Amino acid sequence: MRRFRRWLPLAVLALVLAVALAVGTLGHSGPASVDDRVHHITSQIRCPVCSGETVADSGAPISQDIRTAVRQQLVAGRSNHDITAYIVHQYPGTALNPPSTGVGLLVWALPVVVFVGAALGLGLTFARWRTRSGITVSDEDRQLVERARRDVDD
Amino acid sequence: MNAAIGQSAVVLGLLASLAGAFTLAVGLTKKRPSLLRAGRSYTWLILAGAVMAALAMERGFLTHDFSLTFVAHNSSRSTPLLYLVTGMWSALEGSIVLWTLILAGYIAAMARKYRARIDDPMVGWATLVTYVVSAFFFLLMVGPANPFRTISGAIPSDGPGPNPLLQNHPLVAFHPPMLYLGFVGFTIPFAFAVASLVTGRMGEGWLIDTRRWTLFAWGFLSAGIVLGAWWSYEVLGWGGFWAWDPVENASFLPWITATAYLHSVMVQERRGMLRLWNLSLLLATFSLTILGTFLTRSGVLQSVHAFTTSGIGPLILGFFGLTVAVTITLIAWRGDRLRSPGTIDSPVSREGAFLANNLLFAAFAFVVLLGTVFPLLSEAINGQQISVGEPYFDRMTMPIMIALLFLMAIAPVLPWRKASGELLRKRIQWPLTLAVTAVVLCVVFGVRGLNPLLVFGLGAFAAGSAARQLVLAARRQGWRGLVGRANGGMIVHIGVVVIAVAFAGSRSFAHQTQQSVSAGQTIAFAGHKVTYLGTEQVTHANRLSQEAKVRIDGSKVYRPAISQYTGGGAAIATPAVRSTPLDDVYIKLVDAPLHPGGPATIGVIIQPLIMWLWIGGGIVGLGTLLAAWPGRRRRPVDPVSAPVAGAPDAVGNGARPLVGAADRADRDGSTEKAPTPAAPDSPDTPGPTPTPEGVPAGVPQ
Repeated sequence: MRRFRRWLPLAVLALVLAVALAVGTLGHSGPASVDDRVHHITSQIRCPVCSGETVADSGAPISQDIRTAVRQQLVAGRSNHDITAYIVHQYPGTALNPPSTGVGLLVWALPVVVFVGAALGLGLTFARWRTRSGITVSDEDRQLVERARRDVDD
Repeated sequence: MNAAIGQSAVVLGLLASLAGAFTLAVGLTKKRPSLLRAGRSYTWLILAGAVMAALAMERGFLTHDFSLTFVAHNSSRSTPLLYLVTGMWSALEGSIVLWTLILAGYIAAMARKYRARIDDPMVGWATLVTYVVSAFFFLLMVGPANPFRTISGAIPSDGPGPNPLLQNHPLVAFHPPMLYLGFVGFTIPFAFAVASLVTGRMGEGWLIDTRRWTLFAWGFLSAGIVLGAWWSYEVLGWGGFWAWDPVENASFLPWITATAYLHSVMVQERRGMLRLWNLSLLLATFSLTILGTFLTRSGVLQSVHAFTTSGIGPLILGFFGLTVAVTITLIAWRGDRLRSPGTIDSPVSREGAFLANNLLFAAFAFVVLLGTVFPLLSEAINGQQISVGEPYFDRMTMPIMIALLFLMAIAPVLPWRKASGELLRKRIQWPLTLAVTAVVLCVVFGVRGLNPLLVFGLGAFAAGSAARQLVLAARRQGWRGLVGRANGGMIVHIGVVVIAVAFAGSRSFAHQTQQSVSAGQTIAFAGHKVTYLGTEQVTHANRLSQEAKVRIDGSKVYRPAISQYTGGGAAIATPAVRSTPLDDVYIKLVDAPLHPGGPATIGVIIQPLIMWLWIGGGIVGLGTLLAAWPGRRRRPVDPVSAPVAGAPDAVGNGARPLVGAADRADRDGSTEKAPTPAAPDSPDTPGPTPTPEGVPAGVPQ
């Protein structure tokens, strides 16, 4: 019972947190205004002629044309996904979100594989340490320590 | 004249580096202290060469010596003084002059610091490594990236000036030198890591020698990265500050590995573990600075920050390959001495948290490196053109950053060795209450979205944990509770939290619009009023600008501009920013009016919380300074001051967990242990209990 009382505040905190996160997450939809949606879509496409700028950031004429095209299609009611696919089809290789097929799959999968592997390795090491930790200290060890301590004090 | 001085300075530096390296190599292999002393003197010649080269370059800029190709290409008679001085690092060749100058400065500081240990082979080998690195950079200047190349044919009467983007904001005077102070600073820890491998003294002595160097370099690099983000924001005109661009990633990669090192080194000091790992982190950090230089200076990757491409790519790649090959060979050779006897009792402990931290940072570095080089990889594999950018990095790194924030919240309250549930409950109660309050307040005030809420909540949690530590330490030690590595580190944590919150806020809640307006019209947007008052043409010394006058929220007038610089090139847009703690109103002139009095196109971006990025950067810098603040006492013994004659001693030294260091960390004022009995969580205090295998460690050599 005392244990329960001690952990109660934490449980209440966790409950409040869960409710707040649920409320904060559920009623959420992506960028609302057309301007924000244009920015969102075009920031995922590389400007075909610049060095390392997105269509959203670049001032190149071709980027301005793409932005106008995206805006028109948004107003016409097409989805973000369709518009991105359409633009990337016109300018291959400009999607900053690499494809999840073919070679592109590597860039998504490799980090996950490496991370899971490393985490498993770390977990195994912990398990091994735990089984090994039952070291017993013999009298001989204690004497060795005592001698060493006396040496230090001298 | 400047060319002659510069050329001779470069040759002097190169010869001094080579001669010094050779002398030290002979002295070290033949064990001649006199040669070690002689070899060390070359430091001052290297410094003289680097300083003279930099002065000659600056003199060339200030006297408009257009006979120098570099000066002729990167300055003009109308360039303002500030940008003449910064002209040195506005393109590749000059930035290598700056790099070498900073490297020579570090080598000199190292020579001064270790002047009493001149005969120590460890210091000798470390100095030798720095000489080899400096020889490489002088060699670049002699050969393919010669900054003192003279113009063939008639000397031009004027030049085009620096790249326009590099002459329109004073931050360009601070960001690159800070970044280089960070990059180059990692050479010293690298040199000591190599020296410890070569001498076989893999004990903790070299760590103590290097961790403060690493901390300083890390602080400079952090400041350099934040200043770079600030520069991007103020100059590039797209309203953002971080785009996972290859150049940004190249600066961020060594930061990640160095941060991992600064954490995991504490496990080694305390428990004598992770030797191989820590060594590898230092070696990787240095290698990544070289790899970053290659990726960004060779033109293999496209970037907005590159500003220059050149033919030095193969040389730098070769140097990178050499570095990696040498370090891997050394580790393979000495690997058996790097095994450590210690174990970790429980994953729920301070050292367990540091291991998790390192796992996450390693994954972070892997994702950033893979994403940065992947376009090259995919092209090499099957010729497919693939771009990897912001959406990829955001999606892959967001979970890592959130997990790191969680660790930042939990780790400071965890004791070493083992934590009980009861203890944890007590210690996280207040930070957790703060976190839940923050989330609830955010939701009440209309913040929506899982990622920002998680970041805000965990940020409050982490800041709460850090503040709790600082309060406990300050209560116990007064102002000294704010200095020292552990306490300064907590201040750095608070700075990182501030940056994370600002980052999440601006990523999630920025709004933008772009409208064509006539003079007098107002754009009402996201709670702000932006009134366009007209555009006027202004002639500056180095540019002709169309400046729009824009009144923000009925108060001050701001002037975003489109400027044509006298040196030619495309016109560039310079934004104007009204900053408040709550949000920034970022205005850019997208299209100037076609005819006087006509409508102009104005872009407005509302960026929440941006100011806190720069404030957070300042807090990180302050925390680093406090962390590096010298402790109350000198270290009791100079750890490895006695030259080691044979391997057995070295092995003995290596196998010894650092009880001494652990004690010192306690006295240094780390807060994780031994709070006064009055402190709320005293019962848990394990105290500096020596590990079973650590007991004999008190035996002096």
